[in-house]
Amino acid sequence: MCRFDLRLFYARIMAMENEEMTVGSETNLYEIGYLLSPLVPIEEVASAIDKTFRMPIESLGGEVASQLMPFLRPLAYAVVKSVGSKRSSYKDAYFGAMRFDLKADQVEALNKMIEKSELVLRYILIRLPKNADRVITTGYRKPVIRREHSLEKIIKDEVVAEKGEMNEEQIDKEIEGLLEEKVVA
Amino acid sequence: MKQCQFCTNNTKDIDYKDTEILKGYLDSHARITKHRRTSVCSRHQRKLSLAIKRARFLALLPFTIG
Repeated sequence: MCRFDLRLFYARIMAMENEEMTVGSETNLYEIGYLLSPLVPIEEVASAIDKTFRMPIESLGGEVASQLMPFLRPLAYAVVKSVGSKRSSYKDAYFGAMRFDLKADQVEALNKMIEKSELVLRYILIRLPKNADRVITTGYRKPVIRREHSLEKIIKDEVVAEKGEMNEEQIDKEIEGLLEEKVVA
Repeated sequence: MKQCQFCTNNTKDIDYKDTEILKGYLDSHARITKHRRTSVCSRHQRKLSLAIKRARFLALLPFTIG
């Protein structure tokens, strides 16, 4: 029995949209929405975006109009990303978006450049209408509690075990000791 | 007769990132609700369904629930 894969069906629709977008060589306004791997540290997210999106766009003669800074959010379903022979499943990811001008015949090249990235779990490239606003809309932001990934949790547990927990009396004693040292000095 | 909410608010485009708005047009199984039920006009129903499909692809909305 042939099983109808809904996700594959939507991926084909997106591919057809991309084919339509590459017709002609005029400059259009595009928007790219993407999911970045949650394993990227928060401090390195900005540099990862520059490397993955901004630099390829600018190298192809495009110009970034505005961007929505990525934020960690839970996903509606687990997204699977396979790098080489390793398959990883992610339940949350950094979601961000970017608006940029680019020539229509360069879109295919940009697609190929982004596909190579191991940090991008999934992305969508949309051509915006000519009268669209260049400033990106933010959408809704739901506050998220970061889920601890296994490695981070192990390291954290180890640190806590090394330090040992202190009760209130011990803390008070330490403070008193510090105060006495100050008075003596 | 109830009017289209998007026409009333003078909304031209429906953004796939506005998941809280889009959630209002999904039923308990995360299916797109019919325009007869929500009173959305044909033009906005087409835009709405496209935005929901884009949001589903990016895992901002579920394909199915339950």
